[in-house]
Amino acid sequence: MNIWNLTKKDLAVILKDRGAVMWIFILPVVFLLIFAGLASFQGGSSSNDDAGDTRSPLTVVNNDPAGAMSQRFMEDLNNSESFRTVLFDEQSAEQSLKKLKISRYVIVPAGFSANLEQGIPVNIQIITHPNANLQATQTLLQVVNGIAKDISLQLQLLDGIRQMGEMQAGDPNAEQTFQADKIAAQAKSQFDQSRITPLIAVDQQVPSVEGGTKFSLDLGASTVPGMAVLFVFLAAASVAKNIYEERKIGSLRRLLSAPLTRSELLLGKMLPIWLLTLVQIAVIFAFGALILPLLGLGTLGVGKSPLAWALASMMIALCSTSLGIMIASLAKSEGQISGLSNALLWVAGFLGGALVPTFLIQQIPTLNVLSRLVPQSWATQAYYDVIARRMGVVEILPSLGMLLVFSAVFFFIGIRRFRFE
Amino acid sequence: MPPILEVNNLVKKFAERTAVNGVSFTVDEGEVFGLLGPNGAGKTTTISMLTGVLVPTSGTAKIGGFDILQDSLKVKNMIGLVPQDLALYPTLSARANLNFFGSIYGLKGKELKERVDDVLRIVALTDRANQVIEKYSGGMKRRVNIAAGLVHQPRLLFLDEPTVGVDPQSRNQIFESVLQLNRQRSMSIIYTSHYMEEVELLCNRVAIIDEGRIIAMDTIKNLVAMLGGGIIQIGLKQADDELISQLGKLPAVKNAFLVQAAQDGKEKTGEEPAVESKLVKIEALNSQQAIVNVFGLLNERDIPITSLDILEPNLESVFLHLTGKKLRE
Repeated sequence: MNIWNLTKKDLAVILKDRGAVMWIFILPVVFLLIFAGLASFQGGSSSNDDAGDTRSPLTVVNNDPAGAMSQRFMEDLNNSESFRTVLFDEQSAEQSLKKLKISRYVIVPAGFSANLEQGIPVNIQIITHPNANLQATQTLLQVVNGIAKDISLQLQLLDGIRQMGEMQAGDPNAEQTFQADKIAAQAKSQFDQSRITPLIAVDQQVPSVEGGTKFSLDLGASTVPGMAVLFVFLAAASVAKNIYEERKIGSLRRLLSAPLTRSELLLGKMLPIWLLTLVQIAVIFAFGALILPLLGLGTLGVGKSPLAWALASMMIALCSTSLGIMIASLAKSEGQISGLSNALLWVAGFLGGALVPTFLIQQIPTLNVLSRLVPQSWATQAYYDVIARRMGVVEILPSLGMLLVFSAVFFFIGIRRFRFE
Repeated sequence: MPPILEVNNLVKKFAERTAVNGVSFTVDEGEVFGLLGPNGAGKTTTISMLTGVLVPTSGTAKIGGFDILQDSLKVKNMIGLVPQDLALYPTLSARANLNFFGSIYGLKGKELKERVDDVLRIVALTDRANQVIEKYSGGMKRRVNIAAGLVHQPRLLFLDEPTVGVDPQSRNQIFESVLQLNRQRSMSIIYTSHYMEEVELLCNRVAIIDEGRIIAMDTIKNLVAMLGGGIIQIGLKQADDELISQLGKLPAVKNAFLVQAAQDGKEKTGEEPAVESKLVKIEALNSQQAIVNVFGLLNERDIPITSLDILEPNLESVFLHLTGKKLRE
């Protein structure tokens, strides 16, 4: 009960400062816009090796190099205004994607031409990096789909005409069969069929860079979980400053003389910030889901399990507020709180993938090890698992467990080291 | 009736420094007990230990029969603390502050509202209750600070220098509140101050504390009686044992003794030492009569006087008498 009384009081005090409250929500949104914009811009500006050729290089794995239809497909791609093809073998293309040397590649399957000639549907695969620029991928999809439809339609029309030719050859009295309306009907039928069941389907696949899990989030929207984690952990400084303020004005002394246990007192300082942080997370994700798409910076959801997203959010907020208690116990002045907060939150935020994508950090072995030692890393992983890899509660339990361990350690250190006197 | 507070040999050490060094005293139910001493004497540290803010290094204390460490929650429900700092949330109103402090003692609903209204009446702030505290004057803030310690109706109230930085009007209001609480509600009060006038006005008994130790404890009347008719301090160019003996035998003089060799107060400034003089302290039975007699003897022996201080019989003089220091040094 006393925890709730402390919480109500703190919320009243915090919410009185409307300017500060506004910044709690505005600052993350501003950061989000900047980072999402930068990420999208970066993802869209692929390298261009050939001077004078403004088209983007497009890696293509042609597993049907001798086939006539694959040749035709390659020519059509090269003739598009957006891309010029660069041939890779499949293994090199896969490695390059993992290392983010390329953002996407196209696979023309083996037997592409032979199957088409026999009227057997084939799949062209577009493999995109999890953080590839969405707009560039959309452009590629449109171009490939357009070429595939053209080829499909042409082949299906030709097939229809070929069938009619065969029918004519087999029935010398079938002149009526070739009346104009019959030909038009046959062509329309083939056209409709090519739309409904195209001979060439285009699949997009987004492999996880860490493993084989499907990962679907574009670079702009991928900054949302990172920003959420960054700002949620910045709330740790708020907890520490809140406690410092209580000490500074002398009310901590009065609270210590009241019938409150020390745990109640510290939990009562954590809960209001925890609640505010949850609202902050909701605002950041709502902005990401509703506003970023309007700005063309990506789309975002909460994955297939809103419960997993909510649990991850609550655990991340708990970890942050516990960290605040630890900072309050270690810092002896306002300056120390700021210094410690900056070190623990910005540096750890960077290592944990809140500022830069984790796959970049994971490419540097030392940083990769360090990143696992900061809670932000588990927090961003939990969010990406839920949002991008569409995992559920059970699948993110390891991340939630690690965040709980961090929370317990922070709180334990906090309550042991806190200067109640 | 057993005392509401029993303190036995309480000690608090901070690293190398001993802030409270074996303090013992009792406070009776319904008593206003003063802790008088200069800044840094150990008053606040003593109160902090008794209110559960600090853990004593050694010693024990019981409030209402309960040990302050073993039964701390029971003890804390019985006490109220008005700290020296304005321990209030400045952006909240007086009523919101009092509601909060009442709620952490388990008060709620109608009872909480009645208690808050009651304490607002006591500190005469009912009409400003909904105003944000940061817009209050210093005195009004002090009054809310007191109200916050009263809202749960403690049996024993600790008032730690409650009038620091307060205007005379608010100071009088605080005195009235303290007396009202004690007389009408039989609340036991421990009042710390370095203003002897406040302690003289409010307290039944006083403990004089200096450098972590209680150096005297009694009723004000008895403490002042230690000085008899007052203290006369005279700086003399020369003083020997014979003169001291003669001074002690003068009519209206209770006692006389040589305190120290003084250097006319120039030592502190780093100037050249002035002519050395000797400080003689005379405890008078009647200061007016004693001074006439002392001057007569000194004239007779042609001894020049370099300084003269006549200390009225009050707590300030008692402190000076006991420690050689002024309360507000």
